[in-house]
Amino acid sequence: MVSWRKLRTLFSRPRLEREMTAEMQAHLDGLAERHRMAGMTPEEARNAALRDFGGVEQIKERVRDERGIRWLEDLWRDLRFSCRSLRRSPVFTAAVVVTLAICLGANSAVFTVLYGMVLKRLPFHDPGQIVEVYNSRPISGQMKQRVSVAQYLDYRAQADLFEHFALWDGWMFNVGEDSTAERLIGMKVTPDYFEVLGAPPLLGRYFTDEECAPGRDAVVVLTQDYWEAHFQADPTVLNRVVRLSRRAFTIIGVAPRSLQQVTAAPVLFKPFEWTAEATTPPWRLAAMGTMYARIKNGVALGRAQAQLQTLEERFRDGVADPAARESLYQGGLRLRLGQVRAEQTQPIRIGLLLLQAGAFLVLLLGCVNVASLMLARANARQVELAVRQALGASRGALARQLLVEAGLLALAGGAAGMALAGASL
Amino acid sequence: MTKEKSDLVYGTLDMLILKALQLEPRHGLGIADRIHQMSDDILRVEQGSLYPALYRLEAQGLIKAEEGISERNRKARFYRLTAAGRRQLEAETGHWTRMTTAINRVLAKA
Repeated sequence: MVSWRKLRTLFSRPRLEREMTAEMQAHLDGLAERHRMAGMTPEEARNAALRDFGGVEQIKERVRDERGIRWLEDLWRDLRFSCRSLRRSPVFTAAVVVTLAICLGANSAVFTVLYGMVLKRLPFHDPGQIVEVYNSRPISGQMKQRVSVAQYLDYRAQADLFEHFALWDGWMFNVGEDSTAERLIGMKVTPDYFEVLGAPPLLGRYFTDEECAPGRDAVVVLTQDYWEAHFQADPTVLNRVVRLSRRAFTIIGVAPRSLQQVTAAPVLFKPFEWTAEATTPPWRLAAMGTMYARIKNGVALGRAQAQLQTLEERFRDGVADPAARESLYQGGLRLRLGQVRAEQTQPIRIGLLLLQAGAFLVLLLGCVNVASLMLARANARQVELAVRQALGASRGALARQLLVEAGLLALAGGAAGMALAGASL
Repeated sequence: MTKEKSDLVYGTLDMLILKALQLEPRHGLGIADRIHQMSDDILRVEQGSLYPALYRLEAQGLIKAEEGISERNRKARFYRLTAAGRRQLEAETGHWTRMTTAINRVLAKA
């Protein structure tokens, strides 16, 4: 255990050294005086006193061992020596630091992108249970197709292995009606979109089912970023009317920032509206929106998927007209589920993983390079190390100093690498 | 006198220093004199080796250093026994007495 006293001696070392020297000198003077009074010359008295006392430097070393924290003082001395040593060979130091910086920086940058875009989980409760539902017609070669409103309503009513279903689509709209008009991207969502994800509103409320009819859908929910950028995070923004694409919309709420991580940057949400006609059987095949759903806890994806397939087949078998029944199954319709994160990152995942593997190989190469540089340097320093050993340094002390030097290089390389990664991202 | 590094073994030099300071505070030279005197001239301490022990005892809080004037009117560093030091002295004296009594008993037997 390190006591307070010992810690304090680290900071007042010069003063303590002076005091110790003074004290020992006083002791020697006292001894010398006694010898002088016994009849010796001053010269002889001093020598006799020194003989009585013992080796002064050795005694001082032993005192220094008793005081202070030896390993800390040694570490500090090693740091200063290593700095000097590295400064004297600037080319070597630069080569090692630059190599490490490039390797570490590249890896950091690539991994940051990989993590942010592919590996990071969605910021919602139980994100593994959030899935995308889509039609698949493998026989006609169409692997992924969007679903219809009729399917959405059907599953919402009958699929009991699911908690919620939601339908959404993109919605482009204009803000402003003169030459400064901007075209922005928003989302049309059914009210349970927010429940599938599980994100309560920051301000105000979300849509109701009644607002999903044409004519009743003149309400919008802002995203948090848009609210902060264009409305200065004003809490009185609720019930304000804005004109979008020549229609008046009322702002009824603000959605939290977490929702912006699901799909690429919508600016606001409006209700997904459909006509009564859209629910009739011919419209079952239309690709009207993307469907997200939340599976109940503990239910496996395969089982949930099978339930949807069953529901779809049940609908088909209930259709009276055989021709219509046939067309419903064109291409071998299959319902498929996939976790939302995985579905979204599918296109870029392989590419990013390959990039990360490449960066890792670069890191390995860089390490080999640095190792050979340090070996060459060690060879050149053999004389220096031999001299230090002859002067009394133990192998442990030498090893410690070399370790400190390597540590300094690693630290410098790492810091430069972080700076590089930060600048490139 | 050998230096005891481990503080599990009672260093006898530490014990003698504590004893020398029992009556009054002394400086380094004074402690050496006192030990010499108390042992009836038998124990001659190598003067310098007192200092590592003194600083060790100070670090352990058994003695306290203070500035003072020596008998030759010079400034000197005096050491004084603390309450903890007194307790330690008693403990070490007791331990030493018990140890030497036991050893003597062993040696006395044929």
